[in-house]
Amino acid sequence: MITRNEPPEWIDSLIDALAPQEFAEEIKGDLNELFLKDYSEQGVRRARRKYVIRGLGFLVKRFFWKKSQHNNLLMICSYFKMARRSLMAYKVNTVINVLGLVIGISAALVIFTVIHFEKSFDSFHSQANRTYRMVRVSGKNMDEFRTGISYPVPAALKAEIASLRNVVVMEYFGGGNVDVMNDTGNAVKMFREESGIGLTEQSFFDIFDFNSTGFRWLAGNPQKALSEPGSVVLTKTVAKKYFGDEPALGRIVRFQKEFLCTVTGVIEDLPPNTDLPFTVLVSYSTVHKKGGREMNDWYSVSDNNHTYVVLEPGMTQLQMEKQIAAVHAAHTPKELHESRHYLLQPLKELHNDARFGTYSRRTISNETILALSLIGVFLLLAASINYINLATAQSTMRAKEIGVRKVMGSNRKNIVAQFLTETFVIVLAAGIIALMVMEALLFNLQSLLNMKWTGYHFRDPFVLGCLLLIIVSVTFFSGLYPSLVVSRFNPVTALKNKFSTGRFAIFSLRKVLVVFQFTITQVLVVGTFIVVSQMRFFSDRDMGFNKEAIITARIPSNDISKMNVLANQLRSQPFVSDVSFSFTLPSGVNRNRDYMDISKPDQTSQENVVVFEFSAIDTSYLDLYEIPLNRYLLSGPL
Amino acid sequence: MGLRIYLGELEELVLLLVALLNKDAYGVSIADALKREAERELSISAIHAVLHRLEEKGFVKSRMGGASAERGGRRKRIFSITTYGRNALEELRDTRLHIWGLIAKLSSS
Repeated sequence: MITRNEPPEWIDSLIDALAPQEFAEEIKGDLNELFLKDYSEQGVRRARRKYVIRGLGFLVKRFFWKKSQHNNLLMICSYFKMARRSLMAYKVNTVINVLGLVIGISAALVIFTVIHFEKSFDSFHSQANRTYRMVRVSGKNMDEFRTGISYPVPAALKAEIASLRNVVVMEYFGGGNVDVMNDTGNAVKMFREESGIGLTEQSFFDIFDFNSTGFRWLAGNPQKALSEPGSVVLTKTVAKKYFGDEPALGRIVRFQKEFLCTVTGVIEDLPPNTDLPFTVLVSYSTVHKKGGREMNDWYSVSDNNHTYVVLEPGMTQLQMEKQIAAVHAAHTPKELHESRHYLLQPLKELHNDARFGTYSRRTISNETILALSLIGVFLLLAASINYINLATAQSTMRAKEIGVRKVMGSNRKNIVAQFLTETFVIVLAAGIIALMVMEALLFNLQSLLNMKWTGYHFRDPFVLGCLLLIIVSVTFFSGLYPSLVVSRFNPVTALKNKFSTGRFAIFSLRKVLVVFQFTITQVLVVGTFIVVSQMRFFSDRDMGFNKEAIITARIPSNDISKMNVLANQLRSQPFVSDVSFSFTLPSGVNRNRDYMDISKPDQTSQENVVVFEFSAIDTSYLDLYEIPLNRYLLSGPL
Repeated sequence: MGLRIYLGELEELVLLLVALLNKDAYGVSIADALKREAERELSISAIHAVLHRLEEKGFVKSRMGGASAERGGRRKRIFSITTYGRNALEELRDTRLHIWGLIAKLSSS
């Protein structure tokens, strides 16, 4: 840093800005005198430092503020009064200015709210920083990213790694069948849930405590609700759906038409910003019995079987990954643990990493978040620049007013303050309207944004803080330049009303701003066109199968005789031309991600084994969807 | 004088110095005098605060004057003691002398 032989200027401007006018001169004079003395005795560095300390010393003295506060308050009141009058006098301009800002601010607010929501996923658990999801990376090039963990792994890790504080296994089904049973063991109500159903262990609630999200236990024992096989914990909403207002605790439900479970707990609904959106939590041991066959099979993997771990404090991800690899290596043959790696993924990255996916089926990459924030900022910039241009263009109309003000003794500072106040009033009005527009947008765009509207956002301190920041920065960014321009008016020419915008050389900055603003707008417009064409590509692209006039529905049972009856009845309808049963749809929606290794029958090594995702179909499937095959052999009915 | 005088210790000291410096009393000169005569080092802002208080109470009055190059062309605020201020100082001194006199009598007897 270059040290100049002068006192630091910013202290002077600070005193100018804050001190009562009658004191500023003597204060600065005394400071200067002391500075010169220090300078000759102690050198420039210390003199400058002392200047700052002495100058700041005035800020804590009462007399420094006493009179000035009174004066400034009076001035500020008058600024607001004048702002109101001139805004009312130019109503059309005011409306145009406010509207331009409303569009920019509300769009930016929506974007920032969405980003805030996406960033908040699962950040609230007390141990979130030490919680990791186990992931499976395999393949020759380490390019297969999956989350399924072999069944025996979690238990082995828990038993063999001491620095693992906690482990939880879960299996998320998403959709599933739940039947409400009566006392005599008959199903009285049957439900098909589309999401939220899964298996997990008691430790789930230790690891994911949903701290400060309003999560709590409404019934049941939080310490051992899921410890026993045949237990199920329901969220409040689901419990109400199944049992109405009757107490749910102790009631029996049948899970997946097979497992009878007792309701051992009712919890508050989980917040919308979690990637663990459970509504029905069945104890893991209900389905996967201790000592079951799968519990000893280190080779096969269900991609539904997921594991989360919490490390002891001080343990790093890398150290733990090494320990996990050691345990894995001890239990499996070389070829397996060399091609399959269990790694850890921090919980806070879950939502940003599309390679592995989440239960909520939404991830947002950090790049997308960055791009979104940039768009938000640029929209604000465009709105501000728009305001600057409008305000400077309109300022010539105010020339006479400025002239009179200057003649009456206003200095530049007063006029700048006056125009900044006007800008502030406009931005404030725009901000308040934008808050309402944002609320309406977030409510109406729920499905587009995939964000459930859970309450008014204008109560959210984040939104309010954001708005405050926007209002302050937009006021200064868009108000400063026009106010500097108008305060520069020469009172004589202003009063003669001899103005033409061409006369201001400084107005060339306006041209720069216009170009900048148009560039932003063009980029956004072109971006929109690209998105539209992409969306058209998504919807019009030939998928390789026929999707016209085909209705798909889930059937509750896979009993073949029942399915045949259903198929025959459907075929007898005049409007049905064909029926096909399959495990998954050709579009890949709701695919159940079953994989199988395929190799030559006589092959013994793991080389050249290809992993296929498979799906069961029937004989009419290919005809119905009009999927052409090169060569195939279909055998047997269904 | 029937009026009670509220004058703090530091205020009294500064007021005395204003009287001493006569026509050359302003922020920096008072700070120097305070160091020289009373061996007390105060920040310049504290001295301004005291002077401001004294002026509010009516012990001193001020006028602007005396710009110089070493002040960056800025004027000083020159303080001078008012009659009220002088009376107050004298009364304080008399009260103290009176009490000291009493103390001397007591200790000698």
